[in-house]
Amino acid sequence: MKKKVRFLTKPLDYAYIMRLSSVSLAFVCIATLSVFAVNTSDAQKVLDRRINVTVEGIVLKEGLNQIARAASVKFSYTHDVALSKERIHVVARELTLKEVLENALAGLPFGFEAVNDKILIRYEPEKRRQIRTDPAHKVTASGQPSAERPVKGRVVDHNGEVLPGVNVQIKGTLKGTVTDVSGDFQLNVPEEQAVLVFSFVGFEPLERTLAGETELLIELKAAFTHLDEVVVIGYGTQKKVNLTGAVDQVSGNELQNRPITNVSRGLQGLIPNLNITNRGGSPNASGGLNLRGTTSINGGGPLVLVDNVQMDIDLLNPDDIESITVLKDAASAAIYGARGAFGVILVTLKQGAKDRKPVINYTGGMEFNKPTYLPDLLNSWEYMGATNLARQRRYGTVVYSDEQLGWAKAHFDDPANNPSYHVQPNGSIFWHANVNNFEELLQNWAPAVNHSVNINGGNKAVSYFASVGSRRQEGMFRDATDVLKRYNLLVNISAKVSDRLRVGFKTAYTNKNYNEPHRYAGKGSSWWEQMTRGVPQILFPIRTPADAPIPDAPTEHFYNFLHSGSRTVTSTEVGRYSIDAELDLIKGLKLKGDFNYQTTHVDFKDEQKEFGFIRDRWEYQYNQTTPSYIRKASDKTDYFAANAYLTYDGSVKEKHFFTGLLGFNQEWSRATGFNVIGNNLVTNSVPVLSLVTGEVIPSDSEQEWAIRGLFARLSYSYKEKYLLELNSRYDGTSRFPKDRRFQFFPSVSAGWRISEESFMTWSEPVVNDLKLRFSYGRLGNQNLANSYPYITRFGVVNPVQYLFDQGFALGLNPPGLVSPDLTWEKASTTNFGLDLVVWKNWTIAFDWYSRKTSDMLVAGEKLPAVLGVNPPDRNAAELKTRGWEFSLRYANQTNWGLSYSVAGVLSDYLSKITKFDNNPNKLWGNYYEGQTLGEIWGYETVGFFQTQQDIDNAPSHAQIAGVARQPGDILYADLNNDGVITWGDNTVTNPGDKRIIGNSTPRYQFGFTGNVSWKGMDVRLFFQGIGKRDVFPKGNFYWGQISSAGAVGTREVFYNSWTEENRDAYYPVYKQDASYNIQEQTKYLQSAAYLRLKNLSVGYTLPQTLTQKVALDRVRIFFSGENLAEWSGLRGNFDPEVVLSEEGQAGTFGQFYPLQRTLSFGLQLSF
Amino acid sequence: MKENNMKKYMIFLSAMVILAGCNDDFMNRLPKDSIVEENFWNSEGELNQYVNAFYPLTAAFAGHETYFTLSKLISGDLQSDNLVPVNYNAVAAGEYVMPATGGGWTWEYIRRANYFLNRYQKAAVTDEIKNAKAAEVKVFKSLEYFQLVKRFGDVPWLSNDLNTDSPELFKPRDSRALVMDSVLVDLDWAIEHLPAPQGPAAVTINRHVALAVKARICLHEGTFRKYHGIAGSEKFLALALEASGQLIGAGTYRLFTTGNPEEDYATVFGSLDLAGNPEIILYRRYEPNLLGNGTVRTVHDNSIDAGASKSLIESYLCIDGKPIGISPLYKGDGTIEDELTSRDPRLTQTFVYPRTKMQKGFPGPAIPGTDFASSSLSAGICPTGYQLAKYWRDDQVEYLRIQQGILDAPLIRYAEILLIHAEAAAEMGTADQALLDKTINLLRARAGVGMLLLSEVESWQGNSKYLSDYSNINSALLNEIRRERRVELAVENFRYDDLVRWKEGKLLEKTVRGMKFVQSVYPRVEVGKDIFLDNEGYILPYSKSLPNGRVFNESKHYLFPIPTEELILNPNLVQNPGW
Repeated sequence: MKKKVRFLTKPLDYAYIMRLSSVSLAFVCIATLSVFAVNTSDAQKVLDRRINVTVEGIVLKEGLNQIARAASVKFSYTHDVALSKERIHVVARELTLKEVLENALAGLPFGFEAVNDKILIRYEPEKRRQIRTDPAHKVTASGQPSAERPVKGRVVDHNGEVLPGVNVQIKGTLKGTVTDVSGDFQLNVPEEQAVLVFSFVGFEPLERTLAGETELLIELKAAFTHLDEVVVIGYGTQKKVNLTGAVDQVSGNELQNRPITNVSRGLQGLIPNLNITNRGGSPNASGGLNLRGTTSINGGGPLVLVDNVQMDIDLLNPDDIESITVLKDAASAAIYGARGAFGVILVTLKQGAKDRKPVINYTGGMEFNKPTYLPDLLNSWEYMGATNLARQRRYGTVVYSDEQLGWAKAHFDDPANNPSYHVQPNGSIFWHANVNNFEELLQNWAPAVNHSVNINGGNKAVSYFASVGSRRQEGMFRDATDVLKRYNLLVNISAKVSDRLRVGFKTAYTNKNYNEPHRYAGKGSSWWEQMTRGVPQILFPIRTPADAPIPDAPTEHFYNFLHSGSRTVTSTEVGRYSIDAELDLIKGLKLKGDFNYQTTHVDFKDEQKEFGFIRDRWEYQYNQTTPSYIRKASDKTDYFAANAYLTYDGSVKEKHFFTGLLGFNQEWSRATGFNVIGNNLVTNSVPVLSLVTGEVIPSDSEQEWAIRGLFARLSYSYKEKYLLELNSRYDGTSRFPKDRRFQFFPSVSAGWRISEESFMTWSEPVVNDLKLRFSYGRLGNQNLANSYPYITRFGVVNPVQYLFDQGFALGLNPPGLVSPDLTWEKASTTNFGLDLVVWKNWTIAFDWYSRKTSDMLVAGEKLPAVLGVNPPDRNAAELKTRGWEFSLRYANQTNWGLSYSVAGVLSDYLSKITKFDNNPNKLWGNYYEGQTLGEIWGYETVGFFQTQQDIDNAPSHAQIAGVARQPGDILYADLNNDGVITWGDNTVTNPGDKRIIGNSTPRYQFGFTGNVSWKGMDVRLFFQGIGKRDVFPKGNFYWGQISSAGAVGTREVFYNSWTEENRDAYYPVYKQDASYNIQEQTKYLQSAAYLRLKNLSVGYTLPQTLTQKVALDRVRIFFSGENLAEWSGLRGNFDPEVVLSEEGQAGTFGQFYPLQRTLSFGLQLSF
Repeated sequence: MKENNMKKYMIFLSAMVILAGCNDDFMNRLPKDSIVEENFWNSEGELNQYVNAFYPLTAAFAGHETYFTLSKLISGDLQSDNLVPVNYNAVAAGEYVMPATGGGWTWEYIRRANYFLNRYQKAAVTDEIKNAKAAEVKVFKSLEYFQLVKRFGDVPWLSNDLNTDSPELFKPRDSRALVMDSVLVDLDWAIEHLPAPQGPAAVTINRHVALAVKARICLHEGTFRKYHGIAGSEKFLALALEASGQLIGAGTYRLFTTGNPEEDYATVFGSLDLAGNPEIILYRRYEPNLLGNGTVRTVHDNSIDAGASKSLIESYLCIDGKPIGISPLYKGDGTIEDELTSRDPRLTQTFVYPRTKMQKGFPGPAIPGTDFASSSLSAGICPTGYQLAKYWRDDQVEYLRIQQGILDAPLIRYAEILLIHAEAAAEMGTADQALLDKTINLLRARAGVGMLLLSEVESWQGNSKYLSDYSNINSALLNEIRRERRVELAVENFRYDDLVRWKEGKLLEKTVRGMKFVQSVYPRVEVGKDIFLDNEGYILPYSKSLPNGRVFNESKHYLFPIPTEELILNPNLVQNPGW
């Protein structure tokens, strides 16, 4: 053990105590789990005893006695066994008791079961009946066995990795076995020529004719088409070939071993039209999930169910995921009614395997993160010079004198011998240091550590899967950085209580803790925005110089605010407790039910400590740090979900297959919370509410919602050729008033497997499977942020920002308005799909869909302002989204053992507003009918005014800004030839000189994966990107002073802007507050299309011959890199993936937590 | 056995479904943490809390929104001929651009008031209590309408809170006359139902506050109608005289004075606690760790980036009570020091005399290009040389509170009431020396300036050195009363409204000038780069940015435009002329 610990920590090198302790924690867990595993599988252990015994054709009872002695166990058996005249025959050398008994009792009407430390032999008449129909067995059954010999062997895949659980059967008999955890099997086969059949899910079956060998090495070929693959669907599973809806599934393997912070980010590019928006690179940021494009004006994403219960997907440990299924069309999601309008994501967690020796897996890794892109900001004297230039051009004056510029330059060139400040005659300090914030504040490589251990096993009756995982990730800052910690625990047990009843228990626990520097108002509120400020962030040194009147004191530089010791801590705890049961009623009919309780507890603590800093006088200032305060909030959500449903599976004459489902679901949630702020801490060192002297302002909240629904599914298949499925749900929600609470949502889907038709036989050599699908369905959407949208409430202002005679007081705002006919938002989807498998190795799928979202609750119908309040939401709009998705997969293996696969996904969508009553004049500030979402209105750029004459001859630009234009300003095109540049009425009908110049919808999103493996080596490449997207750059990082006086800005814009000498520059003249030059326009519209090497993984599995010497079944080491490289035409040093801070909005470039490149080194162990 | 088990399961399951199905409460979830209409309007406390929320919001208390933000307090001066911001003011320059939305066309507080006024009667409290609260709301509503009328002229009058199907949404504008008469009705009702104050310096609305509001509104309306040729000015002037007279007669208020004319005026604006100040009718309180403002700091650092115009400086009298053109005491404007000497002491309590106050020890006023000009924060530029001193106090502790300063903010001063009384009387032609003595001359006495004597003033009319600022009047008395108002209420947000109601917008077109520039005092300043001068050596702050000067269009600029989107949403609205 000790040795391993050292081995593991070696690559970490960082002697962080935290990390060491989490490693040891992981091993303690392994040990604990191992003990747990042994205790629960005593019975299993008995059967695993290896024995030597020879029993040659003697009466059953006597023979069993011999075996019992050889294995030193007790057999107990019934009367039938004692009286049996059957004879048994078995010769075993180092075989397990289980194998001996299986062989001995093969073909006899007896079975065995281990109960504690005893073996129970019992009479099983069904067994004989089967055997009697099998003529090949008569010999054995008669008790006169033909000569047999033991054959043993090992089954491996093309990489040489052992395959446990492979079925090995003697062809034409029922006799067979299963490979053990080392891939080994042993079987007695008849002496005469025998054929062994090996079969395993995901591999092509193999027949091997034995010609006298007794030792075999069997290599199974991976099956490259998964015609028999089973896919998880709502409340059940379905064979992929029988699917009629648009459903995609990925295995959890796709996420594992990748350095992804959370699951949603990991899903990017894996499933066509599952669109993941990265919202920046904070360790705590989750990816935005969207299925098939704009869902509704009000937003709304897919319903994420983790084992049937709603949950934040990012709280999961990626290693615990068995599979992720995405139900895209209305027909597939219909069973989830009012919550599934915009698709459903079903996450299935890993479960225990039956009848299997426990396997312990460990995965651990060390990651290093670095920002993908950082803007190339101006330095101190460049900034000061740029400020003067920009100001002079706009206002004719300068900000800094030549002398001041000289001081800055001197300090920049030789900081050791030149001061970083001068005290001006009026006593104020003029700072002119040069702080490169990216260098000073960010660490080169921010580390993260991951550990995950699980154990998986079971016997015939009970199976279990248990895991613990931990992750610790640091943010980008060098000191005082934000840190994310996550711990996961999962225990999943399934027990067969009786022949008919199976019960499952599940406990899942997640603890996530995000600890970040407190954001002082106006200073740290957005760290990344602060970096654009010249003063104090560039010109102020971080600390005052050693020879200053107040030496080595913090300045107003925001570094000091980050490092003040004030922290904001959010800790989230989710506990999930579930029971599920499955009862066989009669043949084919099952009753299933589950009850789930999920408790979410979010604790929030935010402290603001007071500290003094130096600004422009030699005295400490406290303004932005006072009053000190402590804020604590605690929110608890109790969520209950109960499902009960009947499923039926049946067939008539092996031609007509039916399945049916009828169920009931109800869920309710109650959220309560407290929030208390206490001002003026007695001491910075103990920031607690009981030690404050100022005002204490408490607030609380309590919200509830409930839904209840009846759902049904009927599917019919004729010879698996013609497929039909009906799904429906009658759903109710507490979010609407009583008389409009319930709605019925039906759907239908059908499939036609053309390849099964007799007229298609000619194509068989090429076409292995061809299926056409169609579906239509309508769903409601009740997922509104507000739990009581039909009730208006008074707003509370506490306190009113006005001091009355008695001090502060509470205030009330009048309630808003509610539409009297508020109702459900509905989404209906039509889907056409095609599934194709050709030349065995090629799998192709294509779907086209059209989704109409109607009765959308429109926030703010435009009404005259005299209404005096925001107009109430109304169900007044309709949106149509059309799109398609395509996926292609090819996998193969060479004769010399190299296996490879490539897969690509490509998807596209575009949304249009088809109905919007509230904007008849088509003001483009609002939605309007006929609008393509994402469109960007702007001017057409002609170029620069090069001379005053150009300005005099040009149409008047005064409406955009009544400022006299100068050479270097932008000349817009007079599209409507009216002699003035205007925006008209801001309407589509009178847009003035504006037109649609682009669209910010990400088009042609794609992902491309390549896998190669050979002899233990495996390499994975994953590219992801966007084919087409327009963005218009905004913000201080990009435009610097053109956007806002005092912004630092990038070299990109400053050095490429128009000057008398550089008249062909790309950017307009650099001057302050010239937003009229950077209006949305054709010239500066940027393409945010990109191709990104999202992931590259290289792994090596050590040869087993080596690893087994240290009692390890499998050892794999890997390197994985995320966001390693990209190709994009975007100008400036910005990440093309996250240029937009808000979806659909041209955001401010770069003003958020940068996305990161990640290098990860890891290790996987199984034993 | 197994059959039995099966039955048990089925019974259990059915029981669960039935239990769940019968429970109708399960689907009925109502808010538990907030007030809804059904459970409101019961107690006095509820009415109080509703009214409380008005206080920090009302735009009519200009500049006194969430914080005592100086830039808002002085906006009426920045867009006039009083203050000169570094970056010229778009309204004053005639470059205001018609907005698509917003632009002052806000009705939130009107709805807030109407919502209350339509429902407060439900409350089970005495008429006296609920009427007093309603009266408070009516004052807020009046102030809000006053804002709207000043900006847009005719506006729709609303007496109900509207819903999405209310026809009033699409009503045309009501005439100014109708709206102002309605405001008067509300105000008179409020004055009747509000309690009288216990003493001066209130922080909430009382009868006297309502009277002061009435006086202010009536003077504005009376003079506006008179100079813009709208009928009914006499009524409003008389009401202004009456309302201000009532306040004067009440005896609750008097000007704050300690007998020190060099400081008393400034003390009113530099006070950390206005409680009990006899001059204050209404003020806004700031207290440590509760509510703060950054006023002292803003003024100290000159972060407003503006200075006084030459025109404002020139309108201050000399200490003998005579205009600079006439007074023998005037030393001319060869240097700024000369210019500020022997003048109305309010001048140096409003603007800095170089090297005094916060400039102690420094070479001069903050003009572009001087050392003083740019602090490291690149703010603090005074483009004219006349730096603001009002709202400043010599108090390092307050300075270091930064945004948490506790300088109290006067909202309505008794001085304004005196000015209203004098102006209304003068406009009506009833101002005699006795009336001037109990109004204007009280202000002069506190400031230590020579008295306004009717006989003397009339004689100036023919003096060629006597300059009248105003083109629409031919009365030296009125000119002097307006001068007094400009001086006394300088940088208190009145000037723009005053120019509008006097129909003197053309004054904005006068070339904006700063002090006379003396190169030897500012050796570092480079003329032609840092600053620009006219032929006589006066600073021209806008010679580069506004080479053609400011523009005021008489037929357009007295009213603001209605935002374009509103005209589309309500076709019955007609845009103001010229826009």
